[in-house]
Order: sequence, then structure tokens, then C-alpha cells
Amino acid sequence: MKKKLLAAMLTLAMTASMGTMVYAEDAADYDVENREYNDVTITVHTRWDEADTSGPLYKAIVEGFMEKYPGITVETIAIPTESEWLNSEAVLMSDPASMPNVIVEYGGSRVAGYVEQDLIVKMDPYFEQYPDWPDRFNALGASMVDFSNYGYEGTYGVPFTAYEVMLFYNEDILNENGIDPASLQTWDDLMAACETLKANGVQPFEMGEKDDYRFGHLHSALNYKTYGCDMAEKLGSREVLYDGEEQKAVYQMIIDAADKGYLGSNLLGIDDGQERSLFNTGKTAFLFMGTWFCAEDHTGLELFDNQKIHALRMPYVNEEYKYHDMGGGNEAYYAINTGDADEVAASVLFLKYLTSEEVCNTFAAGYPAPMSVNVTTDAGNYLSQEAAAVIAETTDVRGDIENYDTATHMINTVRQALQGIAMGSSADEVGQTIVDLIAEYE
Amino acid sequence: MFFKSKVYRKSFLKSLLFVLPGVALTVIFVIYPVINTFWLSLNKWNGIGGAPVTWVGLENYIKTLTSAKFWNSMLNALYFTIGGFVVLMPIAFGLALLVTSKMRGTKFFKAAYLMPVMLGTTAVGLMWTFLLNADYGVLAQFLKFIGKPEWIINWLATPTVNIWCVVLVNEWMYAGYNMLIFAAGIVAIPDEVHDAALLDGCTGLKKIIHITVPLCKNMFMVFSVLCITGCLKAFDIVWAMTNGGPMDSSATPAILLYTQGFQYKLMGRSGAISIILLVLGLVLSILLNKVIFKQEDM
Repeated sequence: MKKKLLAAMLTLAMTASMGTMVYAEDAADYDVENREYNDVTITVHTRWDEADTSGPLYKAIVEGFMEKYPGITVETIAIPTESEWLNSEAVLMSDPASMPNVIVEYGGSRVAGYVEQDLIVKMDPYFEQYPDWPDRFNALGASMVDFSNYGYEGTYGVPFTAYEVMLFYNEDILNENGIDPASLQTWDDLMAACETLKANGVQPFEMGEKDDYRFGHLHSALNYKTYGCDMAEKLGSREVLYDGEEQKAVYQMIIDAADKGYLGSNLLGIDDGQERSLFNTGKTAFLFMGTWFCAEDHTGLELFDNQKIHALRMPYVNEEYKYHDMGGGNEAYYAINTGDADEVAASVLFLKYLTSEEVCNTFAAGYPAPMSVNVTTDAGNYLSQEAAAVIAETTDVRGDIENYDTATHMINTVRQALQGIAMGSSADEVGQTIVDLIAEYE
Repeated sequence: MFFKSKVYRKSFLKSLLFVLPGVALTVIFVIYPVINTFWLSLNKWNGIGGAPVTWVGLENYIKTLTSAKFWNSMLNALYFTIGGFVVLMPIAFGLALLVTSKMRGTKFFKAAYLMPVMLGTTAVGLMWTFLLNADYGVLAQFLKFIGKPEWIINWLATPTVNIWCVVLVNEWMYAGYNMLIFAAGIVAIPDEVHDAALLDGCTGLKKIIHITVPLCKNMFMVFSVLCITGCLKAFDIVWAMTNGGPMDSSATPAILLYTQGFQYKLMGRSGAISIILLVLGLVLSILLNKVIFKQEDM
């Protein structure tokens, strides 16, 4: 009997110790800070732009990380142009051998596709290991790392910068034309102001629809301002149709503004860079743009130096949705599950370093755009502070409306169809093009 | 008996060894990708490593061949081909006649005509995008200067006009390159033939039509094959100038296969377009060789 008892106790003790060992091993796996790294190289695929204000700041982050963790080398693939960056990501992600270790993305169906294939590292165990880490994030970027809409629970990736699409205006031009910026509350108010400006020979907007995301953003923003942010999910689940009356009404708003010449005189001949240049040099009265505009290099720009450019909330169509806006996380970083434990750990460590208080404060001080990570610095320029005040009142945000669809092609399909507006397409044609392409591709 | 001899076997093995690297490279870099693309064209895959590949049979081919976008891209490829034969070929041949003539300064002209192709496609594309800008481009400024502002349109954003702009820029860029092909043929014509023609009173245009062109038939064949296959796979200059837009209006089949694959993540569809292009290119090249430029004529 004694022997049996002893044997049972020994078995229990061994099992318990093995369990502890397994637990300890698991815990150690997620403790990326106390792991030993010897010649680990990770590749980060990004949209970082060396020529942009943020370029040197990102570079400093990478250098700071490598200095702190000498066993890890970070190699970057930086492609600033959106379409080229997306194409490059698609090529690299098509084969396990070429996959980068960290990617920058916007969330949505593209990343959901990677999550589905178990290619994105789930962050929850790491957040349990470092309980303070998730507290660093605010609500702005939450939707970029949450894929519960697609059926995947948990947190994937870490959000970094954030944005909200706003209406920037030139104070001098509006004053000269007797337009009170405070009166620009509704879309109709904005259209009336455009009419006045046009009658006085001033170009209201010069949208660079050569980059087809411009009308894409306007379409998203007008949807949220007309029907509320829930429209993203309704359209994504096809509860609302792209050729339905609700969407045609949104297309029609863009068509009416474009036909009257309010949105630009050469819509397809100008890109978003030229659009900003025209606004920055006082050639146009308004600029419809994300808050990243506040953080761009405005050195030597008279309008900016004299604080003549200001930020306004995007005018609403339906008052109920006055504080619903296009925005949220601007970029999130996702660690790729390459199958190499060292690389995965080093990638997660890089994300942890990237979102640490010191790094984020330094970044935010040099690049005054909204962040999805809490920062304790009040640095920034006057425009970013105006934008921050607008964001503070926002009650709901969503990103590109097409990204809430499960079909990855939607962002291209919808943006291309909207580009047709600049070529004379009617609201019916825009809706029909989208629906036809959905049928063709699915 | 010889085939079974030791000498034969030795020389056969030796020659096999010499051929092997070439065969291996062809299999790895040509045959295998083609077979793999064909396999892909019969499946559905979203382009993500590890994602399931689902057999769909000929569905990708049916959807491609019934797609308006595909036929629009084929029409654009046809425009490229027409431009190649109607614009590029006569210009390149004319330039070749010029640089092989006894005119002074031909070395300078040769270098000048080759300059566009040496610039690189992206540089040429960007340069012409600026030149053709409807706001500040040189052409728009010129039309304003001569009092014809109503002729200014957004050349690169107007369907059909945009693809012809790209086609003409392509011809401008490659005129010098193709000039070299024809020049090689012209200088290979023996002087005696020219002298005999001169004695018979065959000069000027007559000599070009009856002596130079027939004796350059090989060069015309080379040009034709390069032109047709090049037009079917035209990508870089279109991408640099219009990205195939707006709304795919200036997309060529090669642009379409790229965007369908890497933007729309329809890898099977992209594979189907690739195979269609491959078959079309092969058929047209064989037709050119066997029917138009019959071997006995060479």
C-alpha cells in the first residue's frame, strides 16, 4: 500500500513538475525581452519614406533598436508609394520563403487573409506576459488589430499612427470671399461655399484623382457622414448593395460636386502630391485630406508659417452623424509567423520597442500626427493641435469602407469604379460597374 | 552498328554533358514556370503563401475570355501592334537608311536616335507624362500659344487617346533601337549590288523598293517577331505613364495579368491570361515564320 501511495505521489509530482516545466517553457517563449538573440535578422516591409518628415524618425527607431539589442539586425524594405508597396507585399507574401518578418498594413480584408492562413502572430500571449503593454494603446487603432468581424478572436499586431480625414481651408481665401469657416457645418454649406468661390474665380478643391484613393476616401467619408459608421459593416456584409439607392445617393453627391467643377479642374491629371502643393501655395481654398497632412514638411510655406491654414471637421450630411468620421489607425505593424521562433520573438520585441513610451514620444514630437499609442508629449504644430481638438470630439470612426468587405479585391474594384466619375460615369454606372465586377471576381 | 559503338556512346555522353547546363537552365527558368503557371491557371488561389489552391478547371479561361477588361486590353495590344508596323517600322527603316548613307554626321545621328532607349523606360515615361500634362505640359502650353486652347484635353486620362499617346511614346523610344536592326541588314548588302543597280539606273526610291527592302527581308522578319511579342507583353512604358488607368482604359494584357494577380489577388485568372498570351505569341510568331516570311523566300 505504501509503495502504491509513494508511486502515485511520485507520478503526481513528476506530472506536476513537467506541467510546470511546460508552463515555464511557454512563459519563457513569450518573454521576448529576456531571450538570447545571436545573429537574428528580421526584415520589415514598410511604407516609410526617407524624404518625408517621418523618414529619419523611423530610421532612428531601427537604429535605436539594433543598438539596444545587438544580436538582432533589422533590414527594411521601404516603398513609399501605396500601390507599389501593396504590390510588393503581395509578391513577398505569396511564398513562405520570401515573407518579411514584420509588415505594415491597414488591417481589413487583406490582413484578414493572412490571419486566416495563420501567418500573423497573435499578440494576446505577449500582452499577458507584459500586462502594461496593451495599456499603451488607445481606441483609435483598435479596429486595425481586431479581426473578430472575420471570425478570428484576439489581437493581431500593434497599431502605431492614427488619422482622421478633415477639411483643411485657407483662411485668407475664405475671408476674401466672405465665407465664414464656422458656417461650414453641412455638406450643403460646403457646396454653397464652393459655388461662391467658383463664381469669384477661385478653385475650391483640386483633388488628385489620378491616385484613385482620393474619391475612395471621399466616398467613405460621405457614407459615414450620411448613414453613420455602421454603414461600413452593412456594406461589407452586402446588407447594403453598391448599386442600391443609398450608395447611388453618395455617388451622386460626388458627381454633382465634380460636374460643377468644385472638386477640380483636371481630376485625372493631378495626383495627391500635386493636390497638396496647390493647396499649400494658395491655389485652392480647401483640401480634403487625412491628418497626416498636419505632420508633413511645411518648411518655408508662407501660409503655414503665418498660420493661415486651418482644420475643420468634415461637414456632415445627416446631423445625427456629425461626429462620425473617416479615420482610425493609420498604420499597424504585424509580426509574421515565419515558423522560426527566434525571428518571431525578435519581431515581437521590435514591435514592443516601437510602441514603447520613449520611442513613441520621440516619434510624436518629430511627427505631430495622431497616434494609436498613448504619448505623453504635447509637442506639435498649431495645425496638429487644431486637428487633435476635432478628433477629441469624434464619437465613431471607420477606415476605408471597402476594407470591411471580406473580398480583398473590393478596395481596387470600388476605387476604380469611382474613378469613372472623373470620366463622366453616372451614379447608376458606378454602382453597376462595382456589382458586375463583384460577380466576375467571386 | 555505329550507334552501339563505344566511340558513339562516348561522344554522345560528351555532347550530353555540354547540352545539360543549357537544358537544365531552360527547364528551371522556362519550362517549369510555364507548367506551373498552366497549373495555376486551372486553380483558384488568393496569392497568400500556404492558402488553399482549389481546382476550378477551365473557369479562369472562361471568365477571362468573357471579360470586357481582357478584350479591352487586347485591343490596346492591337493598337501597340498597329503602331509598331505603321509608325515604328517605317521610321526605324528610314533612320537606318539615313545613318547608313554617306551623309556627314551619321555618327552623331546614330547616337542621338539611340538616346531615348538609353534613358530607360521610367525616365522616358515620366518625362512624357510631364510633357503631356494638360495644365503645364509643353504641348498644352504650345496649343495655348497658337490660340487653340480648345484642343487641350487630358491626353493621358482620355480612353483611346491615352493608349495612343503611350504607343507613340513607345515608338519614339524604340525607333533608334529598331534602326540598328535594319541598319545591320542594310550594311550587309554587298556594294556590288548597289553598283549594279546604279549601272541599271535604279536609284533613289526605286532602289529602296526593289533592292534594299527585299534584301532586308530577314531584318523585317526579326522586327516583326520582336514587335508582335513585345506588343503582347507591353508593360513598363504603360505602367510608367498611366498605370493602365484610368479604369484600366490603357491596360495591356501584361498590365492586366499583373494587377489581377497582385492587386486583386486572382492568381488563377492571372495565370490564365499568361497562358493565353504565351499561346498567342507562339502562334503569331509561327504564322509569321511559316506563312508570311516563308523559309524558301529567305
